[in-house]
Amino acid sequence: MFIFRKISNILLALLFSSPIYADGIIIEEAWIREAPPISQVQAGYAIINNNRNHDVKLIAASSPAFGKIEFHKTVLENGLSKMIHQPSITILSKNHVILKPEGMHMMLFNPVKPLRAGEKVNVTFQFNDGKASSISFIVKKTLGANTHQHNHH
Amino acid sequence: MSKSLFTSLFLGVLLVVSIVGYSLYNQGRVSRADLDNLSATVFRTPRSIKPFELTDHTGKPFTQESLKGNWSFIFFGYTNCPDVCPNTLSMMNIMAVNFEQKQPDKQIPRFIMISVDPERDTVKQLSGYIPYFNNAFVGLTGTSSQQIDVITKQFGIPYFINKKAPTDTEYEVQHSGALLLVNPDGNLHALFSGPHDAAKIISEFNLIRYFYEQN
Ligand SMILES: [Cu+2]
Repeated sequence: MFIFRKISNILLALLFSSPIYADGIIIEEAWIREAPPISQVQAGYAIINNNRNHDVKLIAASSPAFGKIEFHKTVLENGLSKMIHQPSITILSKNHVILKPEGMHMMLFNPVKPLRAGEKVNVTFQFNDGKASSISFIVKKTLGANTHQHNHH
Repeated sequence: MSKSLFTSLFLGVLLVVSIVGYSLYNQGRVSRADLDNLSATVFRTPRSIKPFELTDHTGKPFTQESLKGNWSFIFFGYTNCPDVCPNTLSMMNIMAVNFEQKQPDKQIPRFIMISVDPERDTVKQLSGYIPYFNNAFVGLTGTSSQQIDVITKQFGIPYFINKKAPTDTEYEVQHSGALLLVNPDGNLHALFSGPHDAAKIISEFNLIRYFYEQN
């Protein structure tokens, strides 16, 4: 089981194409969970690294594949699982933010068409310094996202 | 002659009894105290379930009677949920695959999602959603929230439909992450609170079922 997980981690690492560099902003493991074709909402995840000397704010995201994208944070409060809308995500200088299942995520509304595992989707991130960068997200089927660990620290 | 037959019979029975006893000892009988140490809440007396009437994702009626005859894991969610619900359903699929592969001689428990958003989760919507995760999974919905509340209220399962306006169609439904376990008598047996881990739930369920079958 452990060996299987190790191998699957290596395969996952290979699956994710090389990180995207956008002027000190490095985005890794950008993926969207494949959803049942009937779904009107999906979630996207990534690791956003900020190698700049100053903090950076991710203020918007958009994609031709979705009607609307928001940033949400899933929290468990008084036994209730809720999604809290985040107007922006701050990535501290020389630090990173992890968007992951049951945590911070990109909330993807109204897919233009159902996306199948293996497809790539471009998402444009808008930062508070006026710069934007286009990131390629890969659509993945998750057998169980709970076992997907980011060994990243 | 008959005495030696008696002796060998006696020795034979003794041998069988000790093998059975030894293997039982080796397995370690599960005591009530063991169940109290689980992360799941196991009820001392399983709770009976008040009558309810829902519809499954194929359009068939589903009542408290439908729960009898097998163990059922029940989760509350909705299909317009992008993060927690697919994550939980994927985890349930890992559990189902594990039961199928590791315990082929046992009946695979039922996995059920009860919608807390009957307004958007019609039978048609559920039928396009639930089988994606596993063909054997069951999705349940009702024609009104009152129908759902018969179940959520009796088990204290909280949820909140976070509509920002009456016309809001993209609303979020805040819901409990708890997983209920119903036994083959159709009574609520245990409760798992999130966050969930498939391996942990499986090992705890195996103990719970073993204790149930012993008693
Ligand atoms: Cu969300």
